[in-house]
Amino acid sequence: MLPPKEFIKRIRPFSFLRDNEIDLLLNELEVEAFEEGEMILKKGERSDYVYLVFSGRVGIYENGELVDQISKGEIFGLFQTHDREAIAEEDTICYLIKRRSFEELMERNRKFAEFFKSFEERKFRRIAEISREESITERLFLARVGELVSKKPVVCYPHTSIKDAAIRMEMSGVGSIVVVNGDMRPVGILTSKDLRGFIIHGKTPEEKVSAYMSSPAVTIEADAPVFEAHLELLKRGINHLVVTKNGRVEGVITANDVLMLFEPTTSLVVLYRKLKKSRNIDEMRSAFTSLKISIANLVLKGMHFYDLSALLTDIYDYVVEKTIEIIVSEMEKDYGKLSDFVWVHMGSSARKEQVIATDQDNAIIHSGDNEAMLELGKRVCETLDYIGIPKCPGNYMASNPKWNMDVEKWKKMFHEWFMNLTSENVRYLSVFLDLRPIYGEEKLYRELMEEIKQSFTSQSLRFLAYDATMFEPPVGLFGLRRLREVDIKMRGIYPTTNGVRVLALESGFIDITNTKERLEKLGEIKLIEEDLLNSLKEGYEFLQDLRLKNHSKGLLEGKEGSANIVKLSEIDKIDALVLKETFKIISRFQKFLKGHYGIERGL
Amino acid sequence: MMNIREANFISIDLETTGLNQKKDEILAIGAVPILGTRIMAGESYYTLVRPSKFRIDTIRIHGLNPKELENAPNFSEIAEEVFRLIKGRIIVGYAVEIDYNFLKRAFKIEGYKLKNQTLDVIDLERAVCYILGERPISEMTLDNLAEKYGIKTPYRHNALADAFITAQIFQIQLLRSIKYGIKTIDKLFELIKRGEIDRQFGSHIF
Repeated sequence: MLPPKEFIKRIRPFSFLRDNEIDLLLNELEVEAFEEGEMILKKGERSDYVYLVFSGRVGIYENGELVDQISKGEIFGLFQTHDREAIAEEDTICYLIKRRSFEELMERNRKFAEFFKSFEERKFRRIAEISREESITERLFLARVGELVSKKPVVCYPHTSIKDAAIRMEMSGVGSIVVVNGDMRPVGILTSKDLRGFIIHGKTPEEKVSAYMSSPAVTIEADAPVFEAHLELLKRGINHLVVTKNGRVEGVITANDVLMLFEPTTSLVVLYRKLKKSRNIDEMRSAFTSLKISIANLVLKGMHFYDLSALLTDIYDYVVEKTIEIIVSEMEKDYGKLSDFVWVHMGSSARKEQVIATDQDNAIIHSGDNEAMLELGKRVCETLDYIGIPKCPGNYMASNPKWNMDVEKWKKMFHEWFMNLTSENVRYLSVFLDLRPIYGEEKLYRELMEEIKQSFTSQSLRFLAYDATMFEPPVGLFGLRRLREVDIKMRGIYPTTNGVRVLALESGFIDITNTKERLEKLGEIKLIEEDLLNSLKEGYEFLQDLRLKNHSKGLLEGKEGSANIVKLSEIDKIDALVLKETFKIISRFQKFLKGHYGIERGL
Repeated sequence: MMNIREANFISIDLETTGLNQKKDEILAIGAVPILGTRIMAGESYYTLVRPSKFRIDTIRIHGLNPKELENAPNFSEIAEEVFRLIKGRIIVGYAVEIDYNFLKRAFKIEGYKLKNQTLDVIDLERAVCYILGERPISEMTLDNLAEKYGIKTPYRHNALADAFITAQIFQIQLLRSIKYGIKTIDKLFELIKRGEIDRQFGSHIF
């Protein structure tokens, strides 16, 4: 076997190829070395080859401008565009694959072909799916038990009192506690079922755990495949397995953990029902916490942003509505009937685009009762924070008198922002122009929206558009390849939402808040060309997916840190490739905005 | 004067029963043609060679399957094909002199006279280091050279794989020489000779 085969086999999408198909590529393979500065593909030249970079770096130029950089394991020259040229930016070695063999393979191998077609047509979601297809079976059979352990083991000793053990279980929010000797070797397990045994037969809570635990504990080593754990659970009809590493306790997995790997959505349905059934703040808090984790798991298993954000919006909205309802009825005992108000959300929650760690961005539009409304705002924000929706560090909350006003003051405020375009006011506009009513009298919200639609100025549009083009995505010379990490919110999501928002404001449908829906509407009125629009939609979802994945990983690993920073060395090669394409699309969008609002001429 | 970019090379690696050119025999031939700086990997050639004197069950070479060796052609059956493949090309190899002498002797028995130029990547490495003012790596094994040029990939060693890796090392050496201004084959051989002098007398006299 030629060494190139080993190299090629490991690169996606070549990994989709069967052995004899790779041989077909190799049958005519040539390997060429290019000097730094050497022209590899001239403008307008149709090459007989597709190029796979083995080492070095190649710059792709369009009208003298660097538009892409290709490095190890990436290909160029497959889709020919006549105004492009390829130049070696370092000494570069390329594998030259005959275009003919390449095309023949695309005909033979559906997955291989689809990979490239999806890429060309910018169907990013499909690319991720193609890459994932191969991993589903892998996951079921290759995933190790240790990967399912999400918590440090909760343990006690045989002589621990039943009461202390139960307290420890409650504090850690677990359904079982592992009973260990001094060496962390399991001697038994005490589950909720064993506790029922105690309640029926026990005498005092000071009795020892050893009298009621199930012993010996059924254990499984951390490196055993998950399906073995599945079989063990089924065979013994138990719910808990103690996971060990070299005989010492690593954690506990439940039948649910295993089932979730097979069917992640089941747990969500159960938890969602639990949330809706909760009768008080504490029950809601517990259901909400498990839901967040369950959703994080779903994201890592490949659920997409657009599907999930709808679900998340539903859950968050429900929690907020229910909380306000509880607090309003509490307050009405002291204050009497509260006057009309509407609770609104701003930011990502208003756009129905929240991610798991979204914090509170809320405000109250009311009809005059300042004192009671501020109290309401304060109590609701505190409670939401307790439930698990953290306070907004920027203090954009209904507990802040600045964002808790009667509708007339709100109108005046917007008017002032539109007229007096300081950088502070532009920032306020970009926050408060995404406004969605959550609870209360929607009439007040509609009154404000009408006013907004009447009072924006063309100058304010240009300032907002400028804001959307200020941060350019990293393409071109200082492109991705030079960066170790990139802030995808700042460089990608922010420019997109902001740009789309200003177009929506101009076109009179600022009350549609969701970016994707706004884009669709923009398509209907043909303000943006369809190709750019569709690419933008795909790219936007990809960025949000990436961000969600990051958030989820952080949540499950208990790591703090910004979910918006993507470390290029840590993401999948395919993700990196799509990220690069996405930034190119956003760059095009910014160019459109600059042209549309005449920003290049200055403000 | 032949331009390097148009020169025909062929990277060759043999597997033999041992290092004694008089007694030992060829067991496998791997060959990868190179046109200028372009490795024509698709035109690679590989064959096992059934030895005529050695008993196959006494041969212990890692990775060679005795059954396949039993069914392989002997040298006289492939001599013409290989001779035609090599003819007119500069033979490139790692410690190429040994392989060349094996080939020359085997061909002589079959009535062919091998008279190719040879080029050793070890010699070229010294020469390139000399002109670029680099300190040569201390132990010039094939692996170390591959590592130096960033082409080390995990692969199963056999005559063809090694011939390919050698071709890749040679390719980069060529590119570096060309960049330095050495454009013709004559200049390239001159350079190698200079490198040898340098080695014999020590670089301090230059």
